Amino acid sequence: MTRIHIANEKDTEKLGERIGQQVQPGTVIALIGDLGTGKTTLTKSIARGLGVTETVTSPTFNIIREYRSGRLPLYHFDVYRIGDPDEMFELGYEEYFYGDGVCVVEWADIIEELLPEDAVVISIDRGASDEEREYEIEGEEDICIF
Amino acid sequence: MIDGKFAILAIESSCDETAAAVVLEGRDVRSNVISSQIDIHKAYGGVVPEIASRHHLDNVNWVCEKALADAGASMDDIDAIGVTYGPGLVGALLIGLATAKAYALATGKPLIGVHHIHGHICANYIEHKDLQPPFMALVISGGHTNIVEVTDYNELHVLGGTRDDAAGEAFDKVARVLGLGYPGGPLIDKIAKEGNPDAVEFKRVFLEKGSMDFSFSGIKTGVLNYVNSEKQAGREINIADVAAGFQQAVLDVVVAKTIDAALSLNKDKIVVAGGVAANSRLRGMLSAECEKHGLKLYHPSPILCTDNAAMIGCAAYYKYQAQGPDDLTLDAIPNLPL
Amino acid sequence: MYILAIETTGAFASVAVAEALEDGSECRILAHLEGHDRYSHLQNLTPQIQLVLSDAEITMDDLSAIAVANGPGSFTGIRIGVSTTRALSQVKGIPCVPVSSLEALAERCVQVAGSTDAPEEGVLICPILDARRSQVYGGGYLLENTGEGAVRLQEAVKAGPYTIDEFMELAGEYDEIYMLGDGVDTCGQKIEANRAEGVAFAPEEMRYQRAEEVAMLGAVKFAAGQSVAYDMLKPEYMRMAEAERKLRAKQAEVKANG
Repeated sequence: MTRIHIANEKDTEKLGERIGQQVQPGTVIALIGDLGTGKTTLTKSIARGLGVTETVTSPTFNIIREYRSGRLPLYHFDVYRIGDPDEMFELGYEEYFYGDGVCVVEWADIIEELLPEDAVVISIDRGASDEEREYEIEGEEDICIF
Repeated sequence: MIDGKFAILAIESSCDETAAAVVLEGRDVRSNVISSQIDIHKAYGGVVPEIASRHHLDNVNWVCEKALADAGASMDDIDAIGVTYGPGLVGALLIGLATAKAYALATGKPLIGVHHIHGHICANYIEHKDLQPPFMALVISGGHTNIVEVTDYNELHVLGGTRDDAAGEAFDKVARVLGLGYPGGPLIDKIAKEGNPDAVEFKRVFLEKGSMDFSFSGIKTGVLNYVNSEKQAGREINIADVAAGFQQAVLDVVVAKTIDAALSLNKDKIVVAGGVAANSRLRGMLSAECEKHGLKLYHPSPILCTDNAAMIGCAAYYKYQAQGPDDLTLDAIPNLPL
Repeated sequence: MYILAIETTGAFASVAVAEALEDGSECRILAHLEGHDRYSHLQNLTPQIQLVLSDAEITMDDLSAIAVANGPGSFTGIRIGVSTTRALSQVKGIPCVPVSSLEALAERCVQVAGSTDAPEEGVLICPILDARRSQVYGGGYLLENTGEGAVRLQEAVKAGPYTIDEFMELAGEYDEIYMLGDGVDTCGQKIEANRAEGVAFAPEEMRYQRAEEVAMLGAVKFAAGQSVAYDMLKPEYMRMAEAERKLRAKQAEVKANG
C-alpha cells in the first residue's frame, strides 16, 4: 500500500497521467472518496495519459461512459446511483470489468464486493487545506507508476 | 395510418426508463408510456410487470403493447418504428434497438434510429404546435448540458457542452450536501425561493472568453468547501440561502451563455429541453432576458422534460421525412455525436 | 413444420431454418447463416434472420416456433437473442422455445454419432463456455441409444457455473471426456495440467455454438410442448452468484443495524 500527498490539482493531474500511460488492459481502478475529492479530475487525467481525445465528463447520470480514442478502451463508471448488485449485473458489469479495457469506477465502495480481487483501489481523503488531498493506493504494482 | 396520419411507434431505452409512444406526424401524441410512471399496483393484462430502473428486457414488450392499446391501435396501424440508438448505456440501448429491429422485420415497416438529445429538443414541437426551426436550444438535465443551434428539423450543431458535471447533476449533489433528499433539483428549486441568492457568493465559472462550454464541478466544490468551513467554525448554515446562492451561480452562467448564443447567431427563439427545463428560476430568468431582447421562449411540460418516447416519435418523423429509413444493420452507439 | 433458430451466445451470431414433422422427427436444416464479425450480434442478427428466411424460401408466417439459445454464454449476446425473439414472437404470435447453449453444443455429437468424428459411447461429452476468471459454464452428457438406431443426450453432470477445477473433478469420474466450446480455448492449458489422459478436444470446426443444433433441439422440444409465450421467455445467464450474494448479505446487515 502506498500513500501519496497531493498538494494541489496539478499533482493529481500528474499522477493520473502517469497511471494512464502505464496501465495495462484488464485493469479495474476503484476510486473511493467523498463528494468533491477529485475522483472525476483524477479520471480525466488518467484518460489524458491514455491518449483519450474526447472530453471526459462526470458519468453520474449515465453510469457508464465509454471512450475509445485512447491506447486502450476506457470505461468510466460512476455507481453513485446504483442501489443493488442486480442493477450492476443488468448493466453487464462483468463484461467491462473482465474485458480488455481499463475501468475506472467512482464511488467504488458502493459495489465493493463486485470489484475484482486484483483491482487497484485508490482512497482519497481531504487534506489540511482545500487544495490538498491524501491518496492511499492498494494494488499499485498493477499500475507500475513508481 | 391512424386517422389518416402517418403513425410511428417509438421506443426509448437509453438509460433508466423503458418507454414507448405512438405519435402521429411528429406532433400528435396518442400515447406516452414510461415504465417508472405506471402505478405498480395496476396489473396489465394480468401480468404485473417489473417496474424497476433499467429492467429494459422485462419492460420493453409490455410498454410497447400498452402504448398501442392506449392509442387504440394495433401494430397493423403503425407505419414506422422509431428508436433511440444513442447516446446512452449500451446494455440499455440494445434492448430497445433489438426490439425495434425485430418489430420492423416482422411487420415489414421501416426502422428509424433517433439521437436521444435530438429527441429532447423535439419535445418542444409536441408542446408548441406552431414552433418551427430555426432556433437556439438549451438542453439541460442530469446527464447533459448543451447549447445546440437548430437550423432545420434535422440540422443541429452542438455549440457547447459541459466539461465536467452536468447542471442537473450539480443540483443533485449540492442537494445531498445540504441534506435535502432526492431528487435534488426540484428540492433546491423549492427551498431557494425562501433564500437570499446574494447572501452567500459562489464563483460563476464562464471559462475562456467566447466559450459556450460549461463547468459546474467548481461551483459544486465551492458549496462543499463553504459548508465544511462553516461546520468547522461551528456556525449554522442557512440552507435556503446556500441553495439560492448556488442556484443563482449556475443559472447566471447558463442564461448568459444561452442568450449570448442566440443573439450572436441571430436566433429569435430560445427552446429549452431536459429535466432542468422544469426549474422555475431558470424559466423566470430566461423569460425576463428573452423579453428584454425581444426573443421568444419555449419549454415543454414537465412530463416531456424527462426521458420519454413521445419525443423520440417526433424526432423520428422529421428524420424519416428528410432522410428515409435506416438499415436493419443499425447499431447502438453509446457516444453517438449529434 | 418450420422452426427458426437463433444462436447469439458465442462470438458469432448464427441463424437457421429447420423443417420437421409435427412430432419433431425427421428434422433437417433448410438454410443456415453464420456471422463473420466477432460480437456484432446487434448489428447483424436481424438482417441475418431476414436472409435465412428468404434462403429457406419461407416467410415468418410459415413458422411454428422460434427456438433461441437463451444462455449461458455472452451476456450481451444472450440479451440480443432473447429480446429479438420476444419481439418477433410478440408481433407474430409465434411460440418461443428456449434451448440451452450447452445442450445444443453437446447435440453436435449426436448429429455426428456413428462417424469417426464422434466420441464413443461412454465418453462424457463436456460443453464448456468461458465465464472469465478461470470459470466456465459447463455440463456433462452421455450418448444414449434410444433403441431405434437413434442416439440422444442424457445429462450426466448438471449444467451450471463452475470453477474449472470443480468441473474437472466432476468429470474425473469418467475415463474419457470430450470437450467442446470456447472454454477449451481459454482453459485448455489448465485442463491438460489437471488431467493428462482421457481428454479430447473437439476440432475447431466442431467446437463452437451454432444455430443448427438449436433448431434440431427446438423442433423436438416444441413437439414435446416445451414452448413459452414471449413474456415468459427469459435469459438463462447462469450467474456466478457469490459476489452478488456477499453484497446482498452486507446490504441486509447494514439495513438491520441502520
